Amino acid sequence: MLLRLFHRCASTSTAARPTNFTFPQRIERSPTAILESLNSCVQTDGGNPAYMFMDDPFLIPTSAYEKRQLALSKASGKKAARWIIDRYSYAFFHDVAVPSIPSYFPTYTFDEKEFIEPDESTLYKLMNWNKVTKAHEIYKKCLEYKIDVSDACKYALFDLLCIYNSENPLEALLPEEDWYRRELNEKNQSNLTSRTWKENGLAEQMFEELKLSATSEQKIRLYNSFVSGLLKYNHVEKAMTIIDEMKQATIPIDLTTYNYLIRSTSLIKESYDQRWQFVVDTLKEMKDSSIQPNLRTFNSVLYTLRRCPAYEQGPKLALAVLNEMRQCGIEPSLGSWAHVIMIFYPSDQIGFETQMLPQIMDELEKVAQLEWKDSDDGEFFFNAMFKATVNCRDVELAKRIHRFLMVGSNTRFIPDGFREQLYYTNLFRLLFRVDMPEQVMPLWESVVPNVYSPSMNVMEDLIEFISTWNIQDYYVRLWSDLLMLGFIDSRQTNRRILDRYLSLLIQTNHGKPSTEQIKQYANIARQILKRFPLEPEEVEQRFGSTNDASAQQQEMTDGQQEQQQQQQQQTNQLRPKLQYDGHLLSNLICLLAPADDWEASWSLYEHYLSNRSTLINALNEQSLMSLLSLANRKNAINSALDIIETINELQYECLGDALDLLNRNGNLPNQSRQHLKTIQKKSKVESAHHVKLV
Amino acid sequence: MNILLKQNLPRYAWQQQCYLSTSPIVHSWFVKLTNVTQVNTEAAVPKHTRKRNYPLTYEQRQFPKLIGHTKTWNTFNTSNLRDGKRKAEIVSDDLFLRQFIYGTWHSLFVSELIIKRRHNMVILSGLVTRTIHPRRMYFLIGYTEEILSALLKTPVKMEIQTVENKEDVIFTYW
Repeated sequence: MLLRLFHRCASTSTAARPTNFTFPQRIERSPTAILESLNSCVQTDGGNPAYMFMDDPFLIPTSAYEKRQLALSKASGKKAARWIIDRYSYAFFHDVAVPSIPSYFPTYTFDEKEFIEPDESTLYKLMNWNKVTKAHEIYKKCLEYKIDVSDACKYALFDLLCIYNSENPLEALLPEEDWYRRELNEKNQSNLTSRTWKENGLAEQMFEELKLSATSEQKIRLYNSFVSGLLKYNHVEKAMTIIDEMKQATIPIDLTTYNYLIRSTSLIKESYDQRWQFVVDTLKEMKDSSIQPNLRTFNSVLYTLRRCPAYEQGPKLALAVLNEMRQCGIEPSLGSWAHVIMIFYPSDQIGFETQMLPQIMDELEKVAQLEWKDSDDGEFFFNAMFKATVNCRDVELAKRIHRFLMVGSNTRFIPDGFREQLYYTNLFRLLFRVDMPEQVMPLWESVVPNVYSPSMNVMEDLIEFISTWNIQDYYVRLWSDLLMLGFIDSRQTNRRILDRYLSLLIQTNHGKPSTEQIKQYANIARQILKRFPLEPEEVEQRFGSTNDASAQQQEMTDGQQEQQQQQQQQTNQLRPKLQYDGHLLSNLICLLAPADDWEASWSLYEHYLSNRSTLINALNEQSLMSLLSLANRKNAINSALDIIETINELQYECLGDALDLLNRNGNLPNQSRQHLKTIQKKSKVESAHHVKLV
Repeated sequence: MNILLKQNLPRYAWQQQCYLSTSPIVHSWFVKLTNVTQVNTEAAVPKHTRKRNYPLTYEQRQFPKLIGHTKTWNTFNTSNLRDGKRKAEIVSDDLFLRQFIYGTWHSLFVSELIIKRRHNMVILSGLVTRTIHPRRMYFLIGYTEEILSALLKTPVKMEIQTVENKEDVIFTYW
């Protein structure tokens, strides 16, 4: 112990001790610094469901349809709660939070009195609560009653009317709904360049009114708001006339207005050269008025260039714009890159040679943390993946983009479900066409089903991929994946997948499957039969009624019996009704017969025989042969003869092989041999006559 | 007035029998005469039924005397530590939450509600049976979270687990 102390003193005395000591300065951190640092350790993981879902197997959605359903049910629950909060608002005013949280309070209800005797504060409240049209009404009332409304209030109201096009702004959707906003808000899907400005709406009325009484600074604000609103809602002719008015009256144009103007260039001018000239002129004007451009300006310029597809000058000019941006000290945001991608790869064929995308990826990977700077940023990943897969067909590039997406919290730059679906669809369609299983399957596993639920096209490509690469281990797993992703049901659209999958299982060109696999395939066939019961319609009803009549006659009265029958019929109707055709039946027989499942295969065969008139397609050769060999193994001679007769009727070429097979069976009684000979004589099939029968 | 019979010493240390009934009972020195319906009952300790078919979950089988030994509390908060704040409010909030969940999730919860408080968040956990479709369950989750947050003015989150049916949580029959 003493020796240790000695050593310690010795070491400190020999080390060079600093003579002065500086205190480390306190680093000012934000209140959420710890949370942010924890967040940076967490990556998007495909192993658990999205945050809004509960982490329990019963409650985790796997197919795209389920995800949408459950997210929207949760949103619906929240709306129901909101309704109750507003209805019984007296119960929700007790507040313990400091500072108080406004979203936990009921929405403000306006008193009738406030509307009858309006006041400026009413106007402000209405505007804060997004009731812009009502605010305008009350403003009119104020004018009637000659109540004084301050200028600040008036201009604020006018600004709001311009921004929201004389309507109330749309209700902000809940986060669960926001993911599906493309489907919920059909307005978004309409053409983004259609003119939606309301002519002679409230905004225009107010503009006319305020124009008369405005001072010069107020006029600046007035005109700028009005033009910005007009341009935002694509009413360019009126906007240009107002701008001319402004120029005549020497009212300076604002940065926001310039931004909107540049963005709407493609609506103002027709030809590409004219558009570019217009943009350059506008930028010159800005320079003359010494207005510094911001990120939005440059993004608008790039947007305009993008709306000129296949413009030869486009790429050059885009690079020039990027240079200019850097000179102004503005970093290009994801939105700028999104537009640049669309400029360099304007359509599906052009742009194979440029190395723009890799260069962009180089740039972006240098950036430590991506931030959301502009409303165009949400398009980047979607565009990048689209072009990488469709134009460049470059697997490395696509994977690089995907890796970049998975870094940190970059996944928030894919803002809605529709774009995410398309992103992954593009990615996987490329990978399935070009890449190898060892690299694709891990990626597939990491993303499906929690992050991405594939659509039918991608599943078909996947089955194609698996059959090409013959990943036999995955066949059975694929069945449970198909079930999980919701592709096995009675809908006509999913029928293709079922057929395709079963033909995958049956194909014999990649070698015989092992006995274990044969058993598993037979299990799959049984599951299909269980899920989609086989009985045709008339038999079902008769079956249902006789069942009830015999089993419960003693206990129930007549009325209850009928009720039972009706209920049975109803449940039968509700159960999925898969349309069986001969093709499907053949596939099932081919799966069941090698596994020695006599009852199931024979019942399928009988079903075919009894419903021959209603079924499309007949049983094919492969299935009949496998059924025959099963019958042979089980020594069910009569059934075998029956099968041979069917083959004869259908006039399949395999009749010869069939006769031969049964012929070789040692236990065949003489009668059966006679029968075989008569079949051979009567048959019209060539090959049958070549077989030597004993 | 009854006198405490000193000969009838309590057999176990925790068994305090209070002879508070005022009915006239004859004193006896040899037979323990007590009001059977009022004594010998403890909170949360059921008596054996004749047919031994009263179901108990594992938590219910751990009687309250084991709290702190092999059983924990159903609510976790720091109000009872030194400088802990809002003891009474948290207790009353807990009672309210339990009653609310009991009433909103109709016979779905098969365990006690576990309430955890972290910073200003309240996290509710429990076991739920799978009697209703996931759609309805998510509706209830969204509704509960929203309305409880508005009532308590703190973020409320639910983290539930599902169980096939009620029989799965029955540990023994008492």
